[in-house]
Amino acid sequence: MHRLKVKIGKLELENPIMPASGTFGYGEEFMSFFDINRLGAIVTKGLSLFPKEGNIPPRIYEGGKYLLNSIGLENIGLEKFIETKVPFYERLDCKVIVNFFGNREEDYCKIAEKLNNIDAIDALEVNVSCPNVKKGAIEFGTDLKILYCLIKELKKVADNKPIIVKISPILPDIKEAGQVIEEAGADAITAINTIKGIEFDSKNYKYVLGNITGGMSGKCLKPVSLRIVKELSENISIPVIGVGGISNVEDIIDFFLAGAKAVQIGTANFSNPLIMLELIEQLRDVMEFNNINSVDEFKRVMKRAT
Amino acid sequence: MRVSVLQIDKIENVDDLIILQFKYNRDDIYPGQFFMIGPLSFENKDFILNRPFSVSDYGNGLLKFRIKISGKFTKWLLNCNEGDKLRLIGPLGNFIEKKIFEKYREIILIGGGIGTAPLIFFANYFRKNNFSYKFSVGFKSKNELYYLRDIKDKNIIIYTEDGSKGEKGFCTEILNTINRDEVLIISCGPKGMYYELKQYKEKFHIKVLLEERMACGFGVCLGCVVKTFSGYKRVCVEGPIFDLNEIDLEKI
Repeated sequence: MHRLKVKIGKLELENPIMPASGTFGYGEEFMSFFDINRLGAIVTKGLSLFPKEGNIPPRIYEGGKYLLNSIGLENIGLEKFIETKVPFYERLDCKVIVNFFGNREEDYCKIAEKLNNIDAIDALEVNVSCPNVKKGAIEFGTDLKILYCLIKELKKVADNKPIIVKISPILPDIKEAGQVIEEAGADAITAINTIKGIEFDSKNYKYVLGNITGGMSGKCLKPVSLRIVKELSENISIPVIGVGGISNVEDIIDFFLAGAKAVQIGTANFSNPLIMLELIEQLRDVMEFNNINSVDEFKRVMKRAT
Repeated sequence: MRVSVLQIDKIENVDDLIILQFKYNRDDIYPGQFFMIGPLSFENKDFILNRPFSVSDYGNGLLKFRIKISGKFTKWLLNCNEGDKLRLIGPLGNFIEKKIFEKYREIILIGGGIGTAPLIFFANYFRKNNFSYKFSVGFKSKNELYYLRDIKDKNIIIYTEDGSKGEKGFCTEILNTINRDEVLIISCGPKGMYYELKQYKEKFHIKVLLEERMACGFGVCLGCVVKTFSGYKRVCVEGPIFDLNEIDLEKI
């Protein structure tokens, strides 16, 4: 039964469930928990041209229903990634999506050009939305002219791989942003990245994070993300991957109702490393029980609120 | 490391200490290691992450933790009962291989407050393996001795700050009485203790256990890093046991 199969542009996934970048490391870390080939795809930790040390600790803070993080895109850099991680991806059957970012358009292009020639990599997720770094990333995502040019260039240098653009929730006009991204030639959009926030430790009169600001994730992102996924999917024809606050199968169905083609699981991976496997099974059961043959059908059976 | 759903075999509470026990048959759990512990479902909880807890003893199929009640998670844990199921991820973190211990003539454990919890496992391990050790423990006063509830170990030397039990002073002072070389120090406690230990670092090889807030506990979130003299290191993977010489105390 192939109910769970989805297509993200040219990318065919066995099921619509994948991790959100930054919550799954480079994938290897999860191999001792389960066979990650059972996922629709894996999405790797954000990659930069050169290694990045990340932000000053404390880097995480847990509020009641959210997680605030300021990791600062710590990563091993392109060279070491190709040397030490790609051999592992060559042995995987599931799709491998590499998330990456740069300080300049040139950096983005250099990474994309290199990854374009690696067979083990199936798609590139362009991070233009990290709230935790001072330079780059989010600047590219909020200025639509720069974003358009960046995607155009990436499509030129990485003509073998689908380009997925991961956007920030703070875009003033989501519809316009979606149209610009589509027009520039992107193959899909991931919505959304974390929302920038701060929190205080009022007992000690200080900020909870070393970096002061951090990206908020968790359940409270969900309504924001659902709204953005809906606006995008109603106005553009490239697929949207929904992410934000998913921790159970009902959340996933909500994203399908909003128009998502696939979903990413983020913060929930931390508290239960097996959650994606459990969700794949539960989604299959729900679809079989309700005789729903593809994820698109969820939207078709949705009733209009009266 | 593995994800397991385990039933609470025993849960006890004395003052702000919870003693938690599970039946668990494994052969790969070592002193210094920890587990991420949390509920099966986070729905209707006022937290969304598991918490890291050091193993306070493991043997004969019994896995034990000694946990200080300090926040919303541990208050929730306090209301759990025998038979309740929890999710455990682990064992996590680094450990010291037996052949390393064998190189030393004596091992001194130095624990302050709830920092004694993981050291109890070390002490039991040393006793089983016939390593020579001393276990120096420090508390504010005799009122905190319940942290050692059920612990019988003739190698324990008690220090209290007010002198109400054992020696008056800090548990690090035991090092003034050690004059031989080839001694390994393993310490767990508040950061101030590690500053105290710095004065002995030329004389002894000192290892300390660090604690940081963790989101995952198994190396992917990069949230628990500490500054070392060779860059950031994850407490959950490269730690929690670090050489005192390696960590930049000013920056943690």
